[in-house]
Amino acid sequence: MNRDFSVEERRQGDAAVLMVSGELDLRTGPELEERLTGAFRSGIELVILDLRQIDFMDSTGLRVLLAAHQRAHETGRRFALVRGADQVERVLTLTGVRDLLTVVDAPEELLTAGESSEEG
Amino acid sequence: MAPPEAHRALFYRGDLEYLDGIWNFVAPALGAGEPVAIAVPLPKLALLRDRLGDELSRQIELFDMAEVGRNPARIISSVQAIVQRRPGRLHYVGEPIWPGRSAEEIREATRHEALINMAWRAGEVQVLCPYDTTRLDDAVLTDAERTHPGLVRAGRDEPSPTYAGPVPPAACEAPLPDPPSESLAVSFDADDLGRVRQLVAKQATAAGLRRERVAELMLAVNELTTNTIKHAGRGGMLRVWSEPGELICQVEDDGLIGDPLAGRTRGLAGVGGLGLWMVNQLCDLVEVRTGATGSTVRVHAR
Repeated sequence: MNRDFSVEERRQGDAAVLMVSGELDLRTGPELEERLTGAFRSGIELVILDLRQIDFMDSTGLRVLLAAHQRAHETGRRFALVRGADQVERVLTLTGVRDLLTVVDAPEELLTAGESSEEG
Repeated sequence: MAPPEAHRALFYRGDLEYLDGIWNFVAPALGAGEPVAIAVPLPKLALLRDRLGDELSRQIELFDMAEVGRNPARIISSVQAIVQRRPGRLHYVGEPIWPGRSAEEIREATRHEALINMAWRAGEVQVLCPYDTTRLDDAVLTDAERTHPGLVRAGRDEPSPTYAGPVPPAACEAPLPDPPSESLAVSFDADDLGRVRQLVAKQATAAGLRRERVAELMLAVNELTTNTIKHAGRGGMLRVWSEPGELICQVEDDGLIGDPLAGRTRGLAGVGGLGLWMVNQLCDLVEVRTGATGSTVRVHAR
């Protein structure tokens, strides 16, 4: 286990919200990847990764996000990010990855939007 | 071998030859409706805008080379980005070497000039690189003849007799000068990535870099040390020191960087080379020396 790094998951309806905190790098990336893979289980249509508590993210973290994006795409589910701090934003915009992903300010934006669209 | 028209050096004397040389290159492309982009230093950009007029200036993508090519290792991917969004054969004017650039910048720009010969399939892009023959050193012009399959001299097109293919001239491979003896040196392995980041942030802050610059340099060095852990057998060595107006970080390891275009082309984020590509975007100059005995990557942040 890595100190200063944690992933907490909560489920809301058919969505899984992963709140990740600490530094996302070569050491901690595999742990997040494993947790994300586990989050795409049956019954889950939307996986939200909350990056607000991330202090640092590098290309390793970026690859983990892209793998989750790819998995969602391939299995007909959705994957979204909650916007992180400036450093995280910088990595996403620098690499153009931000344009590929859904990014919101808070998980609630998608949770309510998801429910209302199901009703409609 | 790249055909002469794929990559030509425009040896110019004075503004008139400069403007005529560029006009002769871009006019047929504009007439044929093909995309044109020009990346030259800011004063030259002003000169060109005057000559082209508003109408044509709008049809051409214009860039300040001191920005897009400050680190010459960024240029190929910046041209790739234009190729991807503009259909048709791109005509690109790039002036990565101008009087007043530092010796190490000119060396890395010369390396870029050699490597750009292998960046595209034949016919995909045509490149013209202006060289100021009245103010640049003869050695720089001799290297330009080696790195360009075609030359334009006094208005005449000719193949370069000394063109050496996509191989940087020998001077580009000379070992980097030793770091100063007072430089900070720390060895690192897989457990030290976070500690190294903190160290770089502290040194960069102490050197007076802006807060955003500190974060960018920390990220860049982290990508280098991460590459070391991923690709080199053992850990590596980080050195940090100050030069006037900039902070320098150097990462050394046992690994070999086999692909000369590594970090210069924009691959998909899932494939290798992303870390080094990010380093090239984040730093003002990146110097790589690699071979059988290992690799040294020296990055400059202003």
